Amino acid sequence: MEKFDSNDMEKAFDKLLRRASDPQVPDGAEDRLMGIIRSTPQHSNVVAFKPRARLQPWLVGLPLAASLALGIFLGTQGTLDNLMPDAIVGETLADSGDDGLSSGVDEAESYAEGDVT
Amino acid sequence: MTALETASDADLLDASARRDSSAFAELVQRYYKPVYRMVWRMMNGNAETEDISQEAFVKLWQNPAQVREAKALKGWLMRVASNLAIDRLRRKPTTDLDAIGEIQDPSQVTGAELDARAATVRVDQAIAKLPERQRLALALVYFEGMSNIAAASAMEISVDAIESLLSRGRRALKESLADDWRGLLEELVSKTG
Repeated sequence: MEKFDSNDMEKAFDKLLRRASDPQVPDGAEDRLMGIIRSTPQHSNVVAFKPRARLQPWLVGLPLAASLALGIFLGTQGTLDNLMPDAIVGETLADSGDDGLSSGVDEAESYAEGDVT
Repeated sequence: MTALETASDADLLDASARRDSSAFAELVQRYYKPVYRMVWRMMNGNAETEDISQEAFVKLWQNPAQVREAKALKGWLMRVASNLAIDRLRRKPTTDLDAIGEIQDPSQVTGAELDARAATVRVDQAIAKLPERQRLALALVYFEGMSNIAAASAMEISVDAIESLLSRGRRALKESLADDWRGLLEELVSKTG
């Protein structure tokens, strides 16, 4: 190896690589390929549009109606009263009497008479 | 020269997309050989070479519009064919040289002396031992004459990466051929003066 410089070696190596086999296409390979091609359908570029299945309107209404019916049933039975705020079930109103409450009529009359500044 | 022979790859692809098989046959005429040679190199001369090369062209025929740049058709074909070859190799590796039918044992070719045929066999065997990506880079650049840029594009890697693969491939080949290196080198240099 001593008698060769690295440049010689690289050139020789390139020549060595060129010694690799040069594979030959087998006879009739291209004809066989074209035979396959002629019997192969092409893919369509058009993507079929599939409309999304529409929900039946009654199917949408069904859970809403059931929810409403359940609400009415529970409301009439009073089962949920203890879960509600006092103001809604009226206990606060019942307990408080008239103290501090105004019907608004007096205020309206005062306003009409010009007493309110 | 016929109109098909002078047509550009882009025109032939357009015609192929309109199911013109004669236009596609012209593309086969242009690119089948390089694709076949590259696949042969990747598969180490395995009998599946023709099957894989055909599959790459069938993929092109089924949807020619998938080639975005007609100028890069050769690179596209090389990429598809090499991916198919690598998939096949990973399912059924054939890099074991004992399993390679097409590459002959040099001892069967000559006696003690290295002649040209034996050198070919040894080089083929050394290439066959390379990792698949180094082998692909060598096949594209050295054996198919593609530029580093075109080969990098075909392999979907950077130019730096392909240069690195080529460099490592050369180094590995030199190491692999080290036993024969002196004889081969002296023979080559003495013949070329």
